[in-house]
Amino acid sequence: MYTYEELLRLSGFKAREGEKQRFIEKWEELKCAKLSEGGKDERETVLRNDEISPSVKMSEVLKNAKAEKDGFIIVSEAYYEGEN
Amino acid sequence: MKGKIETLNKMLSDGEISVFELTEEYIKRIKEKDENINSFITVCVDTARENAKCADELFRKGKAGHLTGIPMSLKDNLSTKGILTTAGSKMLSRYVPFYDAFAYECLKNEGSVFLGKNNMDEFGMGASNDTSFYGDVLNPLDAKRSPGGSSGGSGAALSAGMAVYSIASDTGGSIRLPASYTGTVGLCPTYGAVSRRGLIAHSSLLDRVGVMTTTVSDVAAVFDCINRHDEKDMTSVKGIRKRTAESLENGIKGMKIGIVPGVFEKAHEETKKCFVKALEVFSMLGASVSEVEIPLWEKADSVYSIISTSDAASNLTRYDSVRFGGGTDDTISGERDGFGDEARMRILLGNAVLTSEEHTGLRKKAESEMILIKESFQRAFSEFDLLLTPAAYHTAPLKEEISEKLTDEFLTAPSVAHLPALSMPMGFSENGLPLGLQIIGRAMGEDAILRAAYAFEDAKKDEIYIKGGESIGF
Repeated sequence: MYTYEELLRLSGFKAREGEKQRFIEKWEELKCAKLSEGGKDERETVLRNDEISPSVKMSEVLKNAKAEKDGFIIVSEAYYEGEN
Repeated sequence: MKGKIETLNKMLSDGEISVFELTEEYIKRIKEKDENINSFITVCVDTARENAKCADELFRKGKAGHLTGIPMSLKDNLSTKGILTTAGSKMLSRYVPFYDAFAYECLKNEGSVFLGKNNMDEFGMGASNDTSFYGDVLNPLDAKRSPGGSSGGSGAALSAGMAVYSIASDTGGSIRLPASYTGTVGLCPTYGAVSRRGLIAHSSLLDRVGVMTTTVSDVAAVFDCINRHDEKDMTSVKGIRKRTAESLENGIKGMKIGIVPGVFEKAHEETKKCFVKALEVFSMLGASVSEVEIPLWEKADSVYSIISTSDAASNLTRYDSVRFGGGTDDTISGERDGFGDEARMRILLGNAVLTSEEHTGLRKKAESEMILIKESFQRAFSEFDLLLTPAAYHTAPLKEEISEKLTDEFLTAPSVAHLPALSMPMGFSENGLPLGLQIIGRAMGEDAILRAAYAFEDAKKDEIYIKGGESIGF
């Protein structure tokens, strides 16, 4: 983890009064964000429990290595195609 | 309910008023009112008058469309060729783009009259319009209260009758929250429906260009004009677009509406009561209303924070204070100090997310979560046509209550799921302030949202809009 001072340098900023403390508080909040543990296992669980068909297309896309590799836009397009 | 655009279009077509006269009336209003409200950063009087003359000519030749001659404004993060575009930041206080944003281009071609650029939270970062380098925007309904943000300038201008419609942007609720606080109507379209070419980026994975007006049919009229594929925007969705204005009056009989109990119950008591009454209206109009679970809804806020800060850190690196330096020489020193406190904080947090070894994958986890949230909604929409929530916990908060009462928790989930959502008035609090309703639809399902909104507006028109205000009538 970069320090506040290192991040300032990285961002091209001069220090501002009171900012360091605010940054530390906000970063603590952000890094403790309530996310799922993430990863494939959990995603598969959600899909396995899903008895409704429209998600199937999405799950196929997610399992597709190309979509994983090429990023979110491809997933996004498939999502719209599924809807329409 | 007849929209303001339709009313004005008829007056202009019948020759009751010329576009030039109409434009002068709006310029006068801006001059009289905006000194206090501060909803405009730049007012383009000369451009408006030139546009008005051209529009009058179109009416004379019988070539006018329904948006011809209608006075409008743009949020100041939409590029305008030859006109200052600041995004509410000192960093861009001298930036004059060399091209027009796609949405503005569409409306220019229709002959709308461009009045100026609306104030906003810096780079769209904020929910109360108090982070702009150009000063706070006041809520015209009560100057002690926030107009919401980041499109607070657009909401305030519409609410005070200083424009008929405004094009704005929404990243995590930036159109819908100000609409709720100023008693106006705001549509955040599906991600990819409206081209973002010319929009100054805040978060590329979340930003959308949308419409703010004072009636539902006005939203439909403007949205239909800008809802088109743009080959120069790689996120622009291809395919045939539905014309929403044509189906507005089709009613909502048989529509299935879902409410998310765990979500709306967090709202203030007064908001909840008003929301329940709104649900009764939807039932009365022939829709069925029942509960639905969106289990990942509560995670959307965290996902939003991680994605938007890290996107902002990447997008704002281009402002290096050399080409885009602030307005004075002391900011052109190679130190990127043209950013306000909020923008700086988000850049620092975003860089922390992107570089942290300890939490490597925070961004990746957020993106995975985003997909799960989308799927959650997709499952709900396999059974329901629309989802409803209040747009905000409370009415517009007093400036001193912002940190305690302002929240966009209802708004970030549809943002993260890339779904279209509209905020419109659903009634008033005891102290006479508007309470907002959010209608969420399927991807590219703006027609269903607007149909439901129109039916609700028609049933409740005497109870949801400010009476005697210039936001109604012309």
